[in-house]
Amino acid sequence: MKKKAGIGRYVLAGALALTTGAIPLYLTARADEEIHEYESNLPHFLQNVHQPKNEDPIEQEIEQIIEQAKIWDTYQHSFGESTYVNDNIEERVNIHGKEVRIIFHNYDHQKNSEGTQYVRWNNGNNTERLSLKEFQKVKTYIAEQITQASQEAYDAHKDLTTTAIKAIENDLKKNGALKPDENLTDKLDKKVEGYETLTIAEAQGIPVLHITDFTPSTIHITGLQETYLGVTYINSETVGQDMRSILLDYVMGKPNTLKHEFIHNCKKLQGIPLIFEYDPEFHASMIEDETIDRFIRHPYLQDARKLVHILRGIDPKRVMDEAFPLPLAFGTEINKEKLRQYIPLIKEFSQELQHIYHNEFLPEFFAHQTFWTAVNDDLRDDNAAFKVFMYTRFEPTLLGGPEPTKQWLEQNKYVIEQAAKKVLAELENEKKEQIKGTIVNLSMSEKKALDFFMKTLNIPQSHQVQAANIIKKLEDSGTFRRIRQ
Amino acid sequence: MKKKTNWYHTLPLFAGLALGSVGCEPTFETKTEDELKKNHGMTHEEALAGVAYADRWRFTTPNPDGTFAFNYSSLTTADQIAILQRMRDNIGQFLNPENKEDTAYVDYFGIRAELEKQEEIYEYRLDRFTHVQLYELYKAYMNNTPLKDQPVKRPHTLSDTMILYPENDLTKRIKFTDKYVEDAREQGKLTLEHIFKENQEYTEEEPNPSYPHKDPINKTRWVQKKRSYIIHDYDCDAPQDHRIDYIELYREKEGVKEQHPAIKIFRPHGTSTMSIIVLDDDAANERGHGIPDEIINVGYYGITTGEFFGAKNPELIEKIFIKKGKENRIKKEIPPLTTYNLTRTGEITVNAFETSTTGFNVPIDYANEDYQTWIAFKKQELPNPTDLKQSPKKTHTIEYIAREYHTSDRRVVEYFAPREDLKDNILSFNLDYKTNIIEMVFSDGRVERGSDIYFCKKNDQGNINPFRIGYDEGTQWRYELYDEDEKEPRFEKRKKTRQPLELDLRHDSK
Repeated sequence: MKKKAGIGRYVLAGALALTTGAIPLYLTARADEEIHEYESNLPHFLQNVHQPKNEDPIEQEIEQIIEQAKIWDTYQHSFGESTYVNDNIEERVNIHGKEVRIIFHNYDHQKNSEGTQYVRWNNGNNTERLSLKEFQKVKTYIAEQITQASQEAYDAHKDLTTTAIKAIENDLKKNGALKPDENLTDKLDKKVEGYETLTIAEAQGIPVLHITDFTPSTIHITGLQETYLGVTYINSETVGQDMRSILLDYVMGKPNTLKHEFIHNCKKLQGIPLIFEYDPEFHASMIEDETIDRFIRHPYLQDARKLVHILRGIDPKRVMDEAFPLPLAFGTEINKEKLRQYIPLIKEFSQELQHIYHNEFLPEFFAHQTFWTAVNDDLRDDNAAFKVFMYTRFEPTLLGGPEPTKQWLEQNKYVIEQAAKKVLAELENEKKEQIKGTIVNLSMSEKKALDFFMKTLNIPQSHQVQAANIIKKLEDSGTFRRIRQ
Repeated sequence: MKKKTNWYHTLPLFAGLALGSVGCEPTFETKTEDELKKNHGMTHEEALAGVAYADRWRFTTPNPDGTFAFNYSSLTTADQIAILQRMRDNIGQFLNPENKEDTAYVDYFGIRAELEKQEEIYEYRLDRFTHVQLYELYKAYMNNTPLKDQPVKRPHTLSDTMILYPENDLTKRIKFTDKYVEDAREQGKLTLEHIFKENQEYTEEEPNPSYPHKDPINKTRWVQKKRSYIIHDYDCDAPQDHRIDYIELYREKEGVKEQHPAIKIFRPHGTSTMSIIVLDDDAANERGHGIPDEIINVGYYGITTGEFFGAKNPELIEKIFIKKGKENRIKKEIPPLTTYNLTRTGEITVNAFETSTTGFNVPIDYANEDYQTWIAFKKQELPNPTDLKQSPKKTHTIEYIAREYHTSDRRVVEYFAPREDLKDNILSFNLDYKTNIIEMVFSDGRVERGSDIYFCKKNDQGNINPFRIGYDEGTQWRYELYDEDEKEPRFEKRKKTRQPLELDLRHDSK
């Protein structure tokens, strides 16, 4: 195409920009397009987000539920995904003494035709020009969120090391492996004889935690696919946060998504291979300060719902059906009266659960890691260890209170034990069949990957084993290879 | 362990997901809940309460005050070893250079060193737990109890923390010996009845240090070595009955026996013959020396003396000297990218043949093998291929007579030139596949019968030699050797080709 003066030149450049992305946008810019700078100290993307503040915490939570839903409704496709990491704005900040590389996807530096610098922000629908000062607010806000999230993630676990050490030390002293006046803490850094690259802490599985263990080396602020709010690559110290989650967390006033991801980021708690032997999502969910809506719906909290039902007698399905009745084509009308009734109950339990998880269960889990990971395997359930722990510490109450429930259990214990023995024998046989190869033989990590895959395809749980077998047969027969060819 | 899928290695842990079910396989809880509802008529709530009880029942013991204590013995050492092995193998999968997707993930994020550290941690934990498991096995054998009864009552009081604690010397806590031996030792009744020494030469396979950079084919090599061991036979009775009750076998290094026996042999309780072998395959300078690696029960077979044991169990002697080493993880180096200019056809030629003045040989001994005869006609060329009215001639010329030898998988084939008179005058032939006798039918009505050699061309010396021999080399290549000058039986040319699935051997009967 011959270059033409006037509009033709812009069309060519525009067409090329579509295909190569290589033509700087300023060549096609109009000189009078405005560079935005807002009055508020909040970053530009929070300008229209409401952070409820109500003296009554219950009313505040109801407002938070509705505001978060509005964010999902409004911003579903608002933040563009990034094809390439390169050439977005990168900043390096010091957080808790660690250098953190922050990549601000869809933000890049530009100049207008007058030579004024600005930051171009591409969201999912169009482009906005921001002043450098406006971008600085983004950077400051994100850095503060990272700082707060890693601090809170660490704070929830800061006693884990000492408590786990204490539990192990007690056991060693009881059995004569440590003298009464010896401290295990003093020996943690000692090398293991015959395994000189290991310390006693490592051999024993004691996680010696520092705040920087919860701080990633790299964090990507971006748009993620579909409904994903955050992402962590195992052992990599690389985290991604979806911009919608920044808005959602602002509503709550807590960096919940980052806290969640920073638990995953901590290799001493969730590194390879331990991460495949327990429920990392449940663990990471125990750090969040979220609404009842998340508690009663989110798949990661399925066991929390089970525990509130069994141990507190609160049926989460009933809570859901009563507080969020009958979704209609144009939305659900929340029953606020029911919510007011249930919010304090769920909140109280959720806080209790989180406290127990961090301060009682995790030390026990790490003190006897080989036992508890074997419990999870025995019951075919990554979170079995925590549930066993809870049922050992607390009585079920769901059959009319603790005493009636205990009475009922006493009357039915023989039948229950027989049923449990039968199920254990069935599970053992299934395991033997798996080893023989008659059922799809996958490692734990592969099973998790397949589980995730099934969920993305919306395959119901009742069909998932058959679906997995079919997929395996298709792969073995070369069907996928032929399709790829 | 199977290879993971591509997308799993980039599978992150997501904070927020669309609603969906969790878990692919039924768990103990879901199955127990189903069982209680379907077969015992319980309501949903009752079944949930039952599940909580079942979880607690499985792993705790009740205290008098109504609380519950975790029962760390409710799972066996073997159960915990299985998990540790899986965890170690999971790490191994990430570190395996054959797994390209895992390697890409590990290298991109630079986490190889920390995963290797984790591997070392789990090797340590496995070593410790295996030590205990072997002790449980040893006690079961010595007590003649079936192993499945053992888990309920462990022959030791070691908790998992005690097993893992490095400063807890397991060799002092659990000893692979028996009361009858130690009592005899303590009471001065342990009498050394025989001493037997053995010196051996052997070959051992070890990793090839030149693989793959200098030697891309041989991962291992065979090395000549010497070894010696000494056996002590003991009588534990007083008065001595001169029957052997206990045996110790020591590796020797430069004539000096090692600190700990490599093999100890015991007599189980209630029996009069020795059958329990405790084996340590770690030499004195290796980690694990003095800690058993295997417990073997030879059962009714019985062992009478150490010399008898050594003679009858060469494979166990092998084990204490030759350990199967871990395969080195060698990452194949990717050569730098090389590019070439566009090259027009006709600009270059290649020589498909190698030549040798001394001649190429077939590196296979096949002379005594059975063979199958093949006879091929020369392809007829029509003078005017476009003339559709032409029909092919009815008489044929033999192109070659071949012998395909049944040499395992090497597919050796000799090709012989036919007698010169077998030209344009063959109507057909019949071949007896059992005897390889050929019946050749000529166009003048003659029929000649004979072996393949009868129909082959002789050279000036009256000998019949193949003009071509083909054979397979390895799993990828095939060599064809050619003798073109017909002067001496020497293959001056050799061609290397990709190994075909089927050889191009023809059997043209008409």
